[in-house]
Amino acid sequence: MANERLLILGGNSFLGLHLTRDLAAKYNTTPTYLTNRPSDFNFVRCNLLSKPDLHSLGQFDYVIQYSSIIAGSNKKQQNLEMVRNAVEYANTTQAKYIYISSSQVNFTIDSDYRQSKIEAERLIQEHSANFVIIRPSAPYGSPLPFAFTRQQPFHVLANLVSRLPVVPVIGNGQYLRQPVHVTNLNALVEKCLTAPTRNRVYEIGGPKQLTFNAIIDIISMARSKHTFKLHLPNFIFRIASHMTNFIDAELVNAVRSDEQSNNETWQELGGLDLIPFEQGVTDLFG
Amino acid sequence: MQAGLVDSTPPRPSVLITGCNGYVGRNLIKLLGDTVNFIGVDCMPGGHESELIDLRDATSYTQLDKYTFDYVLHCAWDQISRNIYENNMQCARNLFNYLDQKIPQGLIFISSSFASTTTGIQYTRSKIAFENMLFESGIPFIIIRPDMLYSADEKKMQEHRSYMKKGFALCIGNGQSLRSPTHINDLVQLVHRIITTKQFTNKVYEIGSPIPYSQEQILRIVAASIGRNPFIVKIPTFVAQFLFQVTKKVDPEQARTIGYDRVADLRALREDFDLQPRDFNTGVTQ
Repeated sequence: MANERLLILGGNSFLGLHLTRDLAAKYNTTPTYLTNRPSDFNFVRCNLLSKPDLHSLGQFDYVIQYSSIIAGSNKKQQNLEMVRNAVEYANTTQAKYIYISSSQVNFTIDSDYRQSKIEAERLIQEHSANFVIIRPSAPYGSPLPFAFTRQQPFHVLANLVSRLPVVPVIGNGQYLRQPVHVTNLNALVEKCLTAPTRNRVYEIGGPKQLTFNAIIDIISMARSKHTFKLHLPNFIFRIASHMTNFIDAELVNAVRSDEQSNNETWQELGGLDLIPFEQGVTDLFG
Repeated sequence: MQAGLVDSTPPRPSVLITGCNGYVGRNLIKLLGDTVNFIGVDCMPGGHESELIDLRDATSYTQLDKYTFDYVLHCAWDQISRNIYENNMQCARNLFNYLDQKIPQGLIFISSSFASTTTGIQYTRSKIAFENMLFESGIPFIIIRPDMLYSADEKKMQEHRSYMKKGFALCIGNGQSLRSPTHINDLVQLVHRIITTKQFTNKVYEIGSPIPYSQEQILRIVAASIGRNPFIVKIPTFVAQFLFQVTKKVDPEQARTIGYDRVADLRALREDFDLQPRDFNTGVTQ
Protein backbone atom coordinates (compact mmCIF):
# COMPACT_ATOMS: atom_id res chain seq x y z
CA MET A 1 0.00 0.00 0.00
CA ALA A 2 2.88 2.33 0.76
CA ASN A 3 3.55 2.62 -2.96
CA GLU A 4 -0.03 3.41 -3.87
CA ARG A 5 -0.45 7.09 -4.62
CA LEU A 6 -3.25 8.93 -2.94
CA LEU A 7 -4.30 12.46 -3.81
CA ILE A 8 -6.42 14.24 -1.21
CA LEU A 9 -8.06 17.31 -2.73
CA GLY A 10 -8.83 19.77 0.03
CA GLY A 11 -6.40 18.07 2.40
CA ASN A 12 -6.29 21.20 4.52
CA SER A 13 -9.99 20.98 5.40
CA PHE A 14 -10.93 19.57 8.79
CA LEU A 15 -11.89 16.17 7.36
CA GLY A 16 -9.14 16.20 4.75
CA LEU A 17 -6.44 16.84 7.32
CA HIS A 18 -7.75 14.07 9.58
CA LEU A 19 -7.59 11.64 6.64
CA THR A 20 -4.14 12.89 5.64
CA ARG A 21 -2.87 12.22 9.16
CA ASP A 22 -4.51 8.80 9.29
CA LEU A 23 -3.28 7.57 5.92
CA ALA A 24 0.08 9.30 5.46
CA ALA A 25 1.98 6.36 6.90
CA LYS A 26 0.10 3.78 4.84
CA TYR A 27 -0.02 5.43 1.41
CA ASN A 28 2.12 7.69 -0.73
CA THR A 29 -0.10 10.64 0.13
CA THR A 30 -0.29 14.08 -1.50
CA PRO A 31 -2.76 16.47 0.11
CA THR A 32 -3.68 19.74 -1.59
CA TYR A 33 -4.59 23.18 -0.29
CA LEU A 34 -5.76 26.42 -1.83
CA THR A 35 -5.09 29.34 0.48
CA ASN A 36 -3.98 28.02 3.79
CA ARG A 37 -1.05 25.63 3.83
CA PRO A 38 -0.43 23.35 6.81
CA SER A 39 3.25 23.10 7.66
CA ASP A 40 3.30 19.32 8.04
CA PHE A 41 3.07 16.75 5.22
CA ASN A 42 3.86 17.51 1.63
CA PHE A 43 0.98 19.85 0.80
CA VAL A 44 0.77 21.17 -2.77
CA ARG A 45 -1.37 24.02 -3.99
CA CYS A 46 -4.21 23.22 -6.35
CA ASN A 47 -7.11 25.33 -7.50
CA LEU A 48 -9.61 22.75 -8.73
CA LEU A 49 -11.16 25.28 -11.06
CA SER A 50 -7.94 25.27 -13.09
CA LYS A 51 -7.44 22.13 -15.18
CA PRO A 52 -3.70 22.73 -15.68
CA ASP A 53 -3.33 23.08 -11.91
CA LEU A 54 -4.91 19.67 -11.42
CA HIS A 55 -3.01 17.94 -14.19
CA SER A 56 0.27 19.43 -12.91
CA LEU A 57 -0.12 17.13 -9.92
CA GLY A 58 0.77 14.01 -11.94
CA GLN A 59 -0.48 10.45 -11.64
CA PHE A 60 -2.34 8.89 -8.70
CA ASP A 61 -4.09 5.61 -7.97
CA TYR A 62 -6.82 7.27 -5.88
CA VAL A 63 -8.27 10.76 -5.89
CA ILE A 64 -10.33 11.76 -2.86
CA GLN A 65 -12.19 15.04 -3.03
CA TYR A 66 -13.13 17.00 0.08
CA SER A 67 -12.87 20.45 -1.55
CA SER A 68 -16.17 22.21 -1.62
CA ILE A 69 -17.36 25.78 -1.28
CA ILE A 70 -19.78 25.88 1.63
CA ALA A 71 -20.62 29.56 1.99
CA GLY A 72 -20.98 32.60 -0.25
CA SER A 73 -22.57 33.29 -3.61
CA ASN A 74 -22.03 31.30 -6.78
CA LYS A 75 -21.06 28.19 -4.82
CA LYS A 76 -23.23 25.82 -6.83
CA GLN A 77 -21.63 26.64 -10.16
CA GLN A 78 -18.11 26.60 -8.72
CA ASN A 79 -18.63 23.34 -6.83
CA LEU A 80 -19.89 21.67 -10.00
CA GLU A 81 -16.97 22.96 -11.99
CA MET A 82 -14.52 21.64 -9.42
CA VAL A 83 -16.16 18.21 -9.46
CA ARG A 84 -16.28 18.15 -13.26
CA ASN A 85 -12.55 18.91 -13.45
CA ALA A 86 -11.68 16.36 -10.78
CA VAL A 87 -13.74 13.62 -12.47
CA GLU A 88 -12.14 14.37 -15.82
CA TYR A 89 -8.71 14.30 -14.21
CA ALA A 90 -9.40 10.99 -12.43
CA ASN A 91 -10.73 9.46 -15.66
CA THR A 92 -7.70 10.64 -17.65
CA THR A 93 -5.26 9.27 -15.10
CA GLN A 94 -7.37 6.12 -14.51
CA ALA A 95 -7.59 6.81 -10.79
CA LYS A 96 -10.41 5.67 -8.53
CA TYR A 97 -12.39 8.75 -7.55
CA ILE A 98 -13.89 9.10 -4.09
CA TYR A 99 -16.17 12.06 -3.54
CA ILE A 100 -17.06 13.22 -0.05
CA SER A 101 -20.61 14.45 -0.47
CA SER A 102 -22.99 15.29 2.37
CA SER A 103 -26.02 13.87 4.12
CA GLN A 104 -27.67 17.17 3.20
CA VAL A 105 -28.66 15.66 -0.16
CA ASN A 106 -31.45 13.96 1.85
CA PHE A 107 -32.58 17.17 3.57
CA THR A 108 -36.19 18.12 2.95
CA ILE A 109 -35.41 21.83 2.93
CA ASP A 110 -33.54 22.91 -0.16
CA SER A 111 -30.40 25.06 -0.41
CA ASP A 112 -27.84 25.92 -3.07
CA TYR A 113 -25.33 23.80 -1.21
CA ARG A 114 -27.67 20.80 -1.22
CA GLN A 115 -28.41 21.30 -4.91
CA SER A 116 -24.70 21.53 -5.68
CA LYS A 117 -24.13 18.18 -3.92
CA ILE A 118 -27.08 16.53 -5.70
CA GLU A 119 -25.95 17.76 -9.10
CA ALA A 120 -22.33 16.89 -8.35
CA GLU A 121 -23.36 13.34 -7.51
CA ARG A 122 -25.38 13.13 -10.73
CA LEU A 123 -22.41 14.41 -12.71
CA ILE A 124 -20.12 11.85 -11.10
CA GLN A 125 -22.54 9.00 -11.76
CA GLU A 126 -22.84 10.00 -15.40
CA HIS A 127 -19.19 10.71 -16.15
CA SER A 128 -16.86 8.96 -13.72
CA ALA A 129 -15.46 5.61 -14.81
CA ASN A 130 -14.70 4.42 -11.29
CA PHE A 131 -16.18 6.19 -8.30
CA VAL A 132 -17.47 5.98 -4.75
CA ILE A 133 -19.65 8.69 -3.24
CA ILE A 134 -19.71 8.96 0.55
CA ARG A 135 -22.34 11.01 2.39
CA PRO A 136 -21.24 11.63 5.97
CA SER A 137 -23.74 12.89 8.53
CA ALA A 138 -22.54 15.72 10.78
CA PRO A 139 -18.94 14.51 11.02
CA TYR A 140 -16.99 15.43 14.15
CA GLY A 141 -13.66 14.64 15.77
CA SER A 142 -10.80 16.01 17.75
CA PRO A 143 -9.57 19.53 17.00
CA LEU A 144 -6.29 19.72 15.07
CA PRO A 145 -3.44 22.17 15.60
CA PHE A 146 -4.14 24.13 12.42
CA ALA A 147 -5.97 27.39 11.73
CA PHE A 148 -8.76 26.22 9.43
CA THR A 149 -10.37 28.87 7.23
CA ARG A 150 -13.71 27.92 8.73
CA GLN A 151 -14.40 26.76 12.27
CA GLN A 152 -15.95 23.35 12.74
CA PRO A 153 -19.61 23.49 13.89
CA PHE A 154 -19.10 20.91 16.65
CA HIS A 155 -16.02 22.70 17.98
CA VAL A 156 -17.88 26.00 18.03
CA LEU A 157 -20.73 24.35 19.89
CA ALA A 158 -18.38 22.62 22.34
CA ASN A 159 -16.61 25.92 22.99
CA LEU A 160 -19.88 27.71 23.63
CA VAL A 161 -21.06 25.00 25.99
CA SER A 162 -17.73 25.04 27.82
CA ARG A 163 -17.66 28.80 28.26
CA LEU A 164 -21.23 29.98 28.56
CA PRO A 165 -24.17 29.08 30.77
CA VAL A 166 -26.55 29.68 27.83
CA VAL A 167 -26.28 28.44 24.23
CA PRO A 168 -28.32 29.92 21.37
CA VAL A 169 -30.25 27.32 19.34
CA ILE A 170 -31.84 27.78 15.92
CA GLY A 171 -35.59 27.17 16.37
CA ASN A 172 -36.87 24.47 18.70
CA GLY A 173 -33.78 22.24 18.47
CA GLN A 174 -35.93 19.14 17.85
CA TYR A 175 -34.42 18.47 14.41
CA LEU A 176 -32.40 15.28 14.19
CA ARG A 177 -28.72 14.74 13.58
CA GLN A 178 -26.71 11.53 13.33
CA PRO A 179 -23.14 12.60 14.12
CA VAL A 180 -20.41 10.34 12.77
CA HIS A 181 -16.95 10.27 14.29
CA VAL A 182 -14.20 11.12 11.81
CA THR A 183 -12.43 7.88 12.77
CA ASN A 184 -15.39 5.92 11.38
CA LEU A 185 -15.58 8.07 8.27
CA ASN A 186 -11.86 7.57 7.61
CA ALA A 187 -12.18 3.84 8.13
CA LEU A 188 -14.92 3.76 5.49
CA VAL A 189 -12.80 5.81 3.08
CA GLU A 190 -9.94 3.38 3.58
CA LYS A 191 -12.22 0.41 2.93
CA CYS A 192 -13.30 2.08 -0.31
CA LEU A 193 -9.67 2.34 -1.41
CA THR A 194 -8.92 -1.31 -0.95
CA ALA A 195 -12.29 -2.82 -1.92
CA PRO A 196 -12.82 -3.81 -5.56
CA THR A 197 -16.34 -2.34 -5.47
CA ARG A 198 -16.96 0.63 -7.71
CA ASN A 199 -19.67 3.08 -8.63
CA ARG A 200 -21.41 3.04 -5.24
CA VAL A 201 -23.06 5.60 -2.98
CA TYR A 202 -22.54 5.07 0.75
CA GLU A 203 -24.15 6.93 3.63
CA ILE A 204 -22.48 6.97 7.01
CA GLY A 205 -23.76 8.37 10.27
CA GLY A 206 -23.38 7.64 13.94
CA PRO A 207 -25.11 4.63 15.53
CA LYS A 208 -28.23 6.65 16.37
CA GLN A 209 -30.12 9.85 15.64
CA LEU A 210 -30.10 12.60 18.25
CA THR A 211 -32.03 15.83 18.48
CA PHE A 212 -29.90 18.95 18.44
CA ASN A 213 -31.08 19.59 22.00
CA ALA A 214 -29.82 16.15 23.04
CA ILE A 215 -26.47 16.85 21.41
CA ILE A 216 -26.11 19.97 23.57
CA ASP A 217 -27.08 17.97 26.66
CA ILE A 218 -24.46 15.30 25.89
CA ILE A 219 -21.75 17.92 25.38
CA SER A 220 -22.81 19.62 28.62
CA MET A 221 -22.67 16.33 30.52
CA ALA A 222 -19.18 15.72 29.20
CA ARG A 223 -18.24 19.10 30.75
CA SER A 224 -20.13 18.20 33.94
CA LYS A 225 -22.43 21.17 33.68
CA HIS A 226 -25.94 22.13 32.78
CA THR A 227 -26.48 24.43 29.83
CA PHE A 228 -29.59 26.48 29.21
CA LYS A 229 -30.77 26.51 25.61
CA LEU A 230 -31.93 29.82 24.26
CA HIS A 231 -34.26 29.02 21.36
CA LEU A 232 -34.22 31.85 18.86
CA PRO A 233 -36.06 32.34 15.58
CA ASN A 234 -34.26 31.78 12.28
CA PHE A 235 -34.12 35.40 11.23
CA ILE A 236 -31.72 36.30 14.04
CA PHE A 237 -29.25 33.67 12.84
CA ARG A 238 -29.75 34.82 9.26
CA ILE A 239 -28.75 38.33 10.29
CA ALA A 240 -25.77 36.94 12.20
CA SER A 241 -24.73 34.89 9.17
CA HIS A 242 -23.97 38.09 7.29
CA MET A 243 -21.43 39.04 9.94
CA THR A 244 -19.48 35.79 9.99
CA ASN A 245 -18.41 33.12 7.50
CA PHE A 246 -19.20 30.43 10.05
CA ILE A 247 -22.72 29.77 8.85
CA ASP A 248 -24.31 30.48 5.49
CA ALA A 249 -27.68 32.29 5.45
CA GLU A 250 -29.41 29.54 3.48
CA LEU A 251 -28.03 26.84 5.75
CA VAL A 252 -29.84 28.51 8.65
CA ASN A 253 -33.07 27.63 6.89
CA ALA A 254 -32.00 24.11 5.98
CA VAL A 255 -30.84 23.29 9.48
CA ARG A 256 -34.42 22.35 10.52
CA SER A 257 -34.32 19.32 8.19
CA ASP A 258 -33.85 15.98 9.91
CA GLU A 259 -30.77 13.97 9.11
CA GLN A 260 -30.89 10.23 8.66
CA SER A 261 -28.12 8.03 7.35
CA ASN A 262 -28.57 4.54 6.02
CA ASN A 263 -25.64 2.66 7.48
CA GLU A 264 -26.75 -0.45 5.60
CA THR A 265 -25.36 1.00 2.38
CA TRP A 266 -21.73 0.15 3.13
CA GLN A 267 -22.22 -3.18 4.94
CA GLU A 268 -20.94 -5.01 1.81
CA LEU A 269 -17.48 -3.68 2.73
CA GLY A 270 -17.55 -5.28 6.18
CA GLY A 271 -18.37 -4.01 9.64
CA LEU A 272 -17.34 -0.87 11.45
CA ASP A 273 -17.70 -0.21 15.17
CA LEU A 274 -19.63 3.03 15.02
CA ILE A 275 -18.66 5.30 17.90
CA PRO A 276 -21.67 6.56 19.90
CA PHE A 277 -21.70 10.35 20.30
CA GLU A 278 -21.79 9.91 24.08
CA GLN A 279 -18.38 8.25 23.79
CA GLY A 280 -16.84 10.33 20.99
CA VAL A 281 -17.89 13.66 22.50
CA THR A 282 -14.78 13.83 24.70
CA ASP A 283 -12.67 14.17 21.55
CA LEU A 284 -14.28 17.54 20.85
CA PHE A 285 -12.25 19.02 23.65
CA GLY A 286 -8.89 17.84 22.31
CA MET B 1 31.21 35.26 -42.26
CA GLN B 2 34.16 33.59 -44.09
CA ALA B 3 33.39 31.35 -47.03
CA GLY B 4 33.27 27.70 -46.01
CA LEU B 5 32.54 28.39 -42.35
CA VAL B 6 29.17 27.64 -40.86
CA ASP B 7 27.64 30.10 -38.39
CA SER B 8 27.21 28.08 -35.18
CA THR B 9 25.12 30.72 -33.40
CA PRO B 10 21.66 29.29 -32.83
CA PRO B 11 18.94 31.30 -34.55
CA ARG B 12 17.18 33.81 -32.30
CA PRO B 13 13.75 32.56 -31.36
CA SER B 14 10.79 34.61 -32.59
CA VAL B 15 8.12 35.39 -30.05
CA LEU B 16 4.70 36.93 -30.55
CA ILE B 17 4.11 39.03 -27.45
CA THR B 18 0.65 40.41 -26.67
CA GLY B 19 0.33 43.45 -24.44
CA CYS B 20 3.83 44.54 -25.44
CA ASN B 21 3.37 48.08 -24.14
CA GLY B 22 2.13 47.04 -20.70
CA TYR B 23 4.40 46.82 -17.68
CA VAL B 24 5.28 43.15 -18.18
CA GLY B 25 5.49 43.32 -21.97
CA ARG B 26 7.79 46.32 -22.21
CA ASN B 27 10.13 44.96 -19.52
CA LEU B 28 10.38 41.61 -21.29
CA ILE B 29 11.23 43.36 -24.55
CA LYS B 30 13.69 45.71 -22.84
CA LEU B 31 15.57 42.91 -21.10
CA LEU B 32 15.32 40.12 -23.68
CA GLY B 33 15.30 42.15 -26.88
CA ASP B 34 18.95 41.26 -27.59
CA THR B 35 18.33 37.53 -27.61
CA VAL B 36 14.77 37.23 -28.84
CA ASN B 37 13.00 38.58 -31.94
CA PHE B 38 9.80 40.03 -30.56
CA ILE B 39 6.69 40.67 -32.60
CA GLY B 40 4.83 43.00 -30.30
CA VAL B 41 1.10 43.64 -30.42
CA ASP B 42 -0.94 45.99 -28.30
CA CYS B 43 -4.13 47.97 -28.64
CA MET B 44 -2.42 51.12 -27.35
CA PRO B 45 0.68 52.69 -28.87
CA GLY B 46 3.75 52.66 -26.64
CA GLY B 47 6.79 52.25 -28.83
CA HIS B 48 7.27 48.48 -28.62
CA GLU B 49 4.54 47.36 -30.97
CA SER B 50 5.04 45.80 -34.37
CA GLU B 51 1.29 46.04 -34.93
CA LEU B 52 -1.50 47.90 -33.21
CA ILE B 53 -4.19 45.28 -32.73
CA ASP B 54 -7.26 45.01 -30.57
CA LEU B 55 -7.26 41.29 -29.83
CA ARG B 56 -11.03 41.40 -29.33
CA ASP B 57 -11.39 42.10 -33.05
CA ALA B 58 -11.06 38.77 -34.89
CA THR B 59 -10.50 40.46 -38.26
CA SER B 60 -7.45 42.37 -37.04
CA TYR B 61 -5.37 39.20 -36.72
CA THR B 62 -4.74 39.25 -40.49
CA GLN B 63 -2.19 41.98 -39.70
CA LEU B 64 -0.03 39.22 -38.26
CA ASP B 65 -0.03 37.10 -41.41
CA LYS B 66 3.26 38.53 -42.57
CA TYR B 67 5.10 37.28 -39.45
CA THR B 68 6.28 33.89 -38.38
CA PHE B 69 6.96 33.08 -34.76
CA ASP B 70 8.05 30.13 -32.65
CA TYR B 71 6.42 31.02 -29.36
CA VAL B 72 3.64 33.15 -27.94
CA LEU B 73 3.85 35.18 -24.76
CA HIS B 74 0.40 36.26 -23.68
CA CYS B 75 0.60 39.28 -21.39
CA ALA B 76 -2.35 41.35 -22.64
CA TRP B 77 -5.09 41.49 -20.04
CA ASP B 78 -7.98 43.76 -19.19
CA GLN B 79 -7.66 44.38 -15.45
CA ILE B 80 -9.89 47.34 -14.75
CA SER B 81 -12.90 47.62 -17.04
CA ARG B 82 -16.44 46.70 -16.04
CA ASN B 83 -16.38 43.79 -18.49
CA ILE B 84 -13.12 42.17 -17.49
CA TYR B 85 -14.38 38.65 -18.02
CA GLU B 86 -16.05 39.16 -21.38
CA ASN B 87 -13.24 41.31 -22.80
CA ASN B 88 -10.57 38.80 -21.86
CA MET B 89 -12.62 35.86 -23.08
CA GLN B 90 -13.24 37.52 -26.42
CA CYS B 91 -9.46 37.98 -26.80
CA ALA B 92 -8.89 34.39 -25.71
CA ARG B 93 -11.35 32.92 -28.21
CA ASN B 94 -9.88 34.95 -31.06
CA LEU B 95 -6.32 34.19 -30.08
CA PHE B 96 -6.88 30.44 -29.90
CA ASN B 97 -8.78 30.46 -33.20
CA TYR B 98 -5.85 32.25 -34.79
CA LEU B 99 -3.25 29.96 -33.20
CA ASP B 100 -5.12 26.95 -34.56
CA GLN B 101 -3.58 27.74 -37.93
CA LYS B 102 -0.17 28.92 -36.70
CA ILE B 103 0.64 26.05 -34.31
CA PRO B 104 3.33 27.67 -32.12
CA GLN B 105 5.94 25.51 -30.37
CA GLY B 106 4.85 26.87 -27.01
CA LEU B 107 2.75 29.45 -25.24
CA ILE B 108 3.67 31.23 -22.03
CA PHE B 109 0.71 32.72 -20.23
CA ILE B 110 1.25 35.40 -17.62
CA SER B 111 -1.57 34.50 -15.25
CA SER B 112 -1.82 35.78 -11.69
CA SER B 113 -1.49 34.70 -8.08
CA PHE B 114 -5.21 35.48 -7.90
CA ALA B 115 -5.76 32.24 -9.84
CA SER B 116 -4.08 30.37 -6.97
CA THR B 117 -5.95 31.93 -4.14
CA THR B 118 -9.21 33.73 -4.88
CA THR B 119 -11.98 32.53 -7.10
CA GLY B 120 -15.09 34.65 -6.97
CA ILE B 121 -14.18 37.74 -9.00
CA GLN B 122 -14.23 38.45 -12.75
CA TYR B 123 -10.48 38.97 -12.92
CA THR B 124 -9.68 35.55 -11.44
CA ARG B 125 -12.42 33.77 -13.34
CA SER B 126 -11.06 35.12 -16.61
CA LYS B 127 -7.49 34.06 -15.76
CA ILE B 128 -8.64 30.56 -14.86
CA ALA B 129 -10.85 30.32 -17.96
CA PHE B 130 -7.85 31.20 -20.13
CA GLU B 131 -5.73 28.61 -18.31
CA ASN B 132 -8.37 25.98 -19.06
CA MET B 133 -8.63 27.01 -22.72
CA LEU B 134 -4.86 26.81 -23.02
CA PHE B 135 -4.86 23.38 -21.41
CA GLU B 136 -7.42 22.16 -23.92
CA SER B 137 -5.77 23.78 -26.94
CA GLY B 138 -3.04 21.14 -27.18
CA ILE B 139 -0.34 23.84 -27.44
CA PRO B 140 2.65 23.10 -25.18
CA PHE B 141 2.47 25.65 -22.39
CA ILE B 142 3.75 27.20 -19.21
CA ILE B 143 1.50 29.20 -16.92
CA ILE B 144 3.21 31.71 -14.65
CA ARG B 145 1.39 33.17 -11.66
CA PRO B 146 3.24 36.19 -10.31
CA ASP B 147 2.01 38.24 -7.38
CA MET B 148 2.22 42.06 -7.18
CA LEU B 149 4.81 42.64 -9.91
CA TYR B 150 7.20 45.43 -9.00
CA SER B 151 10.51 47.15 -9.67
CA ALA B 152 11.94 50.44 -8.47
CA ASP B 153 10.46 52.26 -11.47
CA GLU B 154 7.04 50.61 -11.39
CA LYS B 155 4.09 53.03 -11.31
CA LYS B 156 2.42 51.91 -8.07
CA MET B 157 5.76 51.71 -6.30
CA GLN B 158 6.49 55.28 -7.34
CA GLU B 159 3.02 56.35 -6.25
CA HIS B 160 3.55 54.82 -2.80
CA ARG B 161 6.92 56.52 -2.49
CA SER B 162 5.49 59.90 -3.43
CA TYR B 163 2.87 59.57 -0.64
CA MET B 164 5.56 58.45 1.79
CA LYS B 165 7.60 61.51 1.05
CA LYS B 166 4.56 63.49 2.17
CA GLY B 167 4.50 61.56 5.44
CA PHE B 168 1.77 58.95 4.91
CA ALA B 169 1.08 55.61 3.24
CA LEU B 170 -2.23 54.05 2.20
CA CYS B 171 -3.19 50.54 3.19
CA ILE B 172 -6.47 48.81 2.36
CA GLY B 173 -8.03 46.68 5.08
CA ASN B 174 -6.14 45.82 8.25
CA GLY B 175 -2.85 45.37 6.40
CA GLN B 176 -2.24 41.90 7.80
CA SER B 177 -2.84 39.79 4.67
CA LEU B 178 0.30 38.20 3.30
CA ARG B 179 1.72 38.87 -0.15
CA SER B 180 4.68 37.54 -2.16
CA PRO B 181 5.69 40.46 -4.37
CA THR B 182 7.41 39.39 -7.61
CA HIS B 183 10.31 41.39 -8.98
CA ILE B 184 9.89 41.93 -12.71
CA ASN B 185 13.46 40.73 -13.38
CA ASP B 186 12.68 37.35 -11.82
CA LEU B 187 9.73 36.96 -14.17
CA VAL B 188 11.91 37.96 -17.12
CA GLN B 189 14.57 35.47 -16.04
CA LEU B 190 12.01 32.68 -15.93
CA VAL B 191 10.64 33.54 -19.37
CA HIS B 192 14.18 33.65 -20.75
CA ARG B 193 14.94 30.26 -19.26
CA ILE B 194 11.78 28.72 -20.71
CA ILE B 195 12.45 30.06 -24.19
CA THR B 196 16.13 29.20 -24.30
CA THR B 197 15.67 25.70 -22.89
CA LYS B 198 12.40 25.13 -24.79
CA GLN B 199 11.15 23.55 -21.59
CA PHE B 200 7.37 23.66 -21.95
CA THR B 201 6.28 21.42 -19.11
CA ASN B 202 2.51 22.00 -19.35
CA LYS B 203 2.54 23.08 -15.72
CA VAL B 204 1.70 26.04 -13.52
CA TYR B 205 4.42 28.00 -11.69
CA GLU B 206 4.00 30.48 -8.89
CA ILE B 207 6.71 33.07 -8.51
CA GLY B 208 7.36 35.74 -5.89
CA SER B 209 9.31 36.69 -2.81
CA PRO B 210 10.36 33.54 -0.92
CA ILE B 211 9.48 35.33 2.31
CA PRO B 212 5.88 36.55 2.32
CA TYR B 213 5.17 39.91 3.92
CA SER B 214 2.00 41.50 5.24
CA GLN B 215 0.76 44.53 3.30
CA GLU B 216 1.79 46.71 6.23
CA GLN B 217 5.29 45.20 6.28
CA ILE B 218 5.56 45.81 2.54
CA LEU B 219 4.79 49.49 3.06
CA ARG B 220 7.34 49.67 5.89
CA ILE B 221 10.00 48.07 3.67
CA VAL B 222 9.27 50.47 0.81
CA ALA B 223 9.38 53.41 3.22
CA ALA B 224 12.66 52.24 4.74
CA SER B 225 14.18 52.00 1.26
CA ILE B 226 13.79 55.76 0.92
CA GLY B 227 14.55 56.56 4.56
CA ARG B 228 10.98 57.43 5.58
CA ASN B 229 8.72 56.38 8.42
CA PRO B 230 5.23 57.37 7.25
CA PHE B 231 1.94 57.22 9.12
CA ILE B 232 -0.04 54.31 7.68
CA VAL B 233 -3.64 55.20 6.90
CA LYS B 234 -5.82 52.08 6.92
CA ILE B 235 -8.77 52.40 4.58
CA PRO B 236 -11.74 50.11 5.28
CA THR B 237 -12.44 47.70 2.44
CA PHE B 238 -15.87 49.09 1.61
CA VAL B 239 -14.42 52.61 1.35
CA ALA B 240 -11.64 51.29 -0.91
CA GLN B 241 -14.20 49.56 -3.10
CA PHE B 242 -16.05 52.86 -3.49
CA LEU B 243 -12.82 54.75 -4.26
CA PHE B 244 -11.77 52.15 -6.83
CA GLN B 245 -15.15 52.54 -8.50
CA VAL B 246 -14.74 56.31 -8.67
CA THR B 247 -11.08 56.46 -9.73
CA LYS B 248 -11.30 53.45 -12.13
CA LYS B 249 -7.62 52.75 -11.43
CA VAL B 250 -8.15 49.36 -9.81
CA ASP B 251 -10.84 46.72 -10.32
CA PRO B 252 -13.32 47.39 -7.45
CA GLU B 253 -13.93 43.65 -7.10
CA GLN B 254 -10.31 43.17 -6.07
CA ALA B 255 -11.02 45.13 -2.89
CA ARG B 256 -13.16 42.17 -1.80
CA THR B 257 -10.15 39.89 -1.89
CA ILE B 258 -7.88 42.08 0.22
CA GLY B 259 -8.28 39.84 3.24
CA TYR B 260 -6.95 36.72 1.48
CA ASP B 261 -3.32 35.73 1.88
CA ARG B 262 -1.41 35.28 -1.34
CA VAL B 263 1.70 33.29 -0.50
CA ALA B 264 3.71 31.93 -3.44
CA ASP B 265 4.52 28.23 -3.44
CA LEU B 266 7.93 28.12 -5.13
CA ARG B 267 8.70 24.41 -5.04
CA ALA B 268 7.77 23.65 -8.65
CA LEU B 269 9.74 26.66 -9.86
CA ARG B 270 12.84 25.58 -7.95
CA GLU B 271 12.56 21.94 -8.96
CA ASP B 272 11.94 22.45 -12.68
CA PHE B 273 13.87 25.67 -13.40
CA ASP B 274 16.32 25.94 -10.50
CA LEU B 275 15.20 29.53 -10.07
CA GLN B 276 15.43 31.40 -6.77
CA PRO B 277 13.34 34.59 -6.88
CA ARG B 278 14.64 37.49 -4.83
CA ASP B 279 13.32 38.49 -1.44
CA PHE B 280 11.22 41.66 -1.49
CA ASN B 281 13.55 43.26 1.05
CA THR B 282 16.38 42.97 -1.48
CA GLY B 283 14.36 43.64 -4.61
CA VAL B 284 12.69 46.81 -3.41
CA THR B 285 15.62 48.99 -4.46
CA GLN B 286 16.37 47.17 -7.72
